[in-house]
Amino acid sequence: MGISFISPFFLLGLAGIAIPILIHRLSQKRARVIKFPAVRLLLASQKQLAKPLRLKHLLLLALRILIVASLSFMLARPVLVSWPGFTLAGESRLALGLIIDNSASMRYIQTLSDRATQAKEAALAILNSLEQVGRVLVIPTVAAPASAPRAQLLAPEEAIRELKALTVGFGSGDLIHAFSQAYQGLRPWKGQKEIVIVTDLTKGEWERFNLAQVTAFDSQLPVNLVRLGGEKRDDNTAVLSAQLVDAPVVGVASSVQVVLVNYGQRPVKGLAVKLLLDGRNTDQKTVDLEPFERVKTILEFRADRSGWVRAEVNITQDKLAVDDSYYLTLKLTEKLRALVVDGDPKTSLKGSETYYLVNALNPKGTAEDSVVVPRVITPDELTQLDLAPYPLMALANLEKLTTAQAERLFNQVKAGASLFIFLGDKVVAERYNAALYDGPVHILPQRLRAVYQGAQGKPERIGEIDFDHPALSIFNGASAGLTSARFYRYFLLDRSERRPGSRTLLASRRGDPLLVQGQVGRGKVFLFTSSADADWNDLSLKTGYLPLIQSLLRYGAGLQTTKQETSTWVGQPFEFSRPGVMGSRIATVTDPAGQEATVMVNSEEGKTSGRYSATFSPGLYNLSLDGVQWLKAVNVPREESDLAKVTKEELANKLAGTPVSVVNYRTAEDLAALIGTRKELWPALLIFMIILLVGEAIVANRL
Amino acid sequence: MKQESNYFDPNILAHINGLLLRARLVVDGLLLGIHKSRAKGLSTDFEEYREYSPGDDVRHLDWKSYAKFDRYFIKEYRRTTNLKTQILLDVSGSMDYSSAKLSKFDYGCLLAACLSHLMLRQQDAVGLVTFSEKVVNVVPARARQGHLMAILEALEGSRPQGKSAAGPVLQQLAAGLAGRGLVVLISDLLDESEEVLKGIKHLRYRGNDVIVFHLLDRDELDFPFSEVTRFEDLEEDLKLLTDPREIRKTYLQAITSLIDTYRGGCGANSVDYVLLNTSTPLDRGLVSYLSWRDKGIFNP
Repeated sequence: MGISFISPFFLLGLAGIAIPILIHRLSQKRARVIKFPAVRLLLASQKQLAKPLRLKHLLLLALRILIVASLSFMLARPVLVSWPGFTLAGESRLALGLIIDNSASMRYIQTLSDRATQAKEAALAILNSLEQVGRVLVIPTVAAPASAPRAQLLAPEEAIRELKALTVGFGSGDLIHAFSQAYQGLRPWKGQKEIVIVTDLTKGEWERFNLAQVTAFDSQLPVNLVRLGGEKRDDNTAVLSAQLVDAPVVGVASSVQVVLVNYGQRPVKGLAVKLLLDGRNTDQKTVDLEPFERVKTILEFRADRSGWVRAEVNITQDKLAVDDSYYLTLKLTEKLRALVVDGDPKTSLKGSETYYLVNALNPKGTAEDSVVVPRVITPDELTQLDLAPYPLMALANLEKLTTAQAERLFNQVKAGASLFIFLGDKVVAERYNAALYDGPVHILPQRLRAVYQGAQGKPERIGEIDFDHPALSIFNGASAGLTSARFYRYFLLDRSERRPGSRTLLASRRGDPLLVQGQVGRGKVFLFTSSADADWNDLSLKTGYLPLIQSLLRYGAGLQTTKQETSTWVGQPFEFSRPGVMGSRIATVTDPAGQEATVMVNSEEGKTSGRYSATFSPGLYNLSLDGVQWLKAVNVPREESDLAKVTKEELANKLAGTPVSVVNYRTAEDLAALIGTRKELWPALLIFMIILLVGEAIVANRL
Repeated sequence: MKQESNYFDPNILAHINGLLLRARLVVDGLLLGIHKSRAKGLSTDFEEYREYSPGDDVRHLDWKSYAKFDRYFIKEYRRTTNLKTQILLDVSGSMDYSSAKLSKFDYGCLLAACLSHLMLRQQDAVGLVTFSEKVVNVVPARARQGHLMAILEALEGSRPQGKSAAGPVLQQLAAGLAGRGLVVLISDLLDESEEVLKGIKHLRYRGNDVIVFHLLDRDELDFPFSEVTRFEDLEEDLKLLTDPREIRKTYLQAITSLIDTYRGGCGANSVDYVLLNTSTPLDRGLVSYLSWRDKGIFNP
């Protein structure tokens, strides 16, 4: 037991004891002198008094001294402290390494407040118990943006200020770094020193903790662990991820695949999942989750404008709200207009050369739900038609191309369009080679040679698929739809020479290329060596045809989902780049809170790129560079979502070789084992002082 | 130096001018006056009849009695005489205390002057003795009107100083005073009460009519002090540092007891005891007393 003072400077008021003493002395010296005739009578009266006046004066003096002293003590707010723990232990001053877990899991709301608030309360109680004697290192496990490397020994008042200013992170804490800072910061201290860590002991960060990696480790330093939330796992549901299934196109139904997880031991029924686009609720589902189950669900949307759209998937908020939302950005493109030139038109639709191709481009047959809007023309129309609105073009079994037609196609492809060339019985290799390979127009990736025709009844089949190609990766493991197709006839290509950038995507078992990709300027050319209809092959009748065509045109038009912006985790930097050299050297980044920051960008090798690292909160970051906008989604890492706790045994293993004490914190009383009990004495002193005042008034005849 | 006029406040004079201070007892005097004398003689006050004996002055024969009884009777009258008054004024240091304008000494001087004026106006002889622990000054009793100046001069020449020892002085004076007369003692009587009463008794034994004017200041009667005070005695080297509130009750008991002792002692010896608070205007106290003495009504 001992007494400490909350405001010890009021003890200076004890000097005020001198006041009654001085008054007493002065009153004796400066007493009024009266010449009086009957002093003899006065003396006789004085002798009769039972209580000598001098004694009374001394009593009054003592009472007044006690009043001043008790007032001074009362203002100094004495606290009766018992300390089984570290508080004021011994005479030496104590230095405390106070590690505060401010990772995202501390946002879990327990009863009325979140654990971060409770951690602060516990830490404040500990700091208050240090009074004026100690020094404190305040170390957050998730470093604050401005004060990341700071860990200085502070006076308790400063430490309290720092603690109050501490914010809760969205990411995961780095315990190894925090412990290293504590050991390093305490190393120069000569007196007693201890480490206190206030944490919820979630497995996420503690499983990564390894004492062996802590620098400046000192096995003598006691580690006091204040545990919040107990040992039992806390229930939590989270949106684990959300990603686009297809590249979104304006007016076409697109979908987002959401992965939900239940980290709780109880099943969750009717969990509402919502998709919000630009803050508007677009789709909603309810999902049932069994304990520890992951569920994939699809949310659909149909956007009505092109450009960047802010998307957010969220679920019904639980006690840890930070992982109940997942942000993603969508870049919507307008529908693709495809120009299909039919080199062998027929009166029957089904008999036409492009029947299967058009169906593959627009499988539902309606303009509404199709990503591609195909237009079929005759070769003659190709001469006059403005090609600019068509990023996709297909030539099916064209007999020939005029030089002007070839040049227009060439220019369009160079500018970024994709051209699909299907061959057929009308195609004359020499004419094609002359118009599209040998001349100034270099559209064909390889020169055409003779038509290959397999023996009757022994058609060729696809033998090689370039799974590494982004458009064909979808067939990896499910290529049956392609390999079963039979090729009766196809053009052989000159293997001895090929244009730079050409790549064989499909080849026959003999090794003859069936689909070759070439690069022309910014555009792509896909040369299909067989026919588009079922005359030379039955690929168009196979299940793989539709995804192949769709995948190729999406690839050609840059519509793959992989090209959509991917999410970044809080705390991680994100990079952005864009083809072309920008005039401006500075990009503006607006964070989710609306704060603007500038980022330097580099323009090298034909592209402009930059890097932004201040991703301290989840949400959507808006980038602006020379009037071009980007959106970038930053999400909370889900490693904090699993609120499983480290058990006693695991903790003992983690901190083996260190004296450890664990306190389960619920209320301030629970810290008694650590900081002792504290009882303020001022009420008792107040009563004592009132008694003294009454006593003084009685003795001084005021009452 | 006090001015003569200071002793005679017109208010006081106006009040006492119509009054007489008569001796209550028979007194010896040389001249005719208003006081009863032991001698029979010329007077208007009938005393007794007695039978004529040879040698009596025939002018005193009562012829009406002779006609009635056929015997000679002499009609005798009580002789009235003037009074010899001695005013004994205490001029010890303790008389120098004043809480207001007038000190006890000033008040005593004023009282002595007024009484002298009164006595001389009624043809009585008046003298003044000032004393502290011994007799300081003596002005013999005379009945001349001009004698007042001698008394006033003596008063003016007096200063309150020295210790007080009224008892021995009274006894000494009692032995020295010739003839029966009026003795007026003006003092604060802060002395050994037994000794003082013994002196008064002695004076009475010598046949004097004694009036005691006990002068006390308001502070002495009420003791109104409240702060811690160092009281220093006016006569002796006595000091007391005290909180007056503490001892007030006991002191008031003591002073009341002293007054009662004097009042009782005087009453027992047929001495008029008049306690005068010096804060009370003199005319009020004196006139009340004289009226009472004259008519039996005293209301100071």
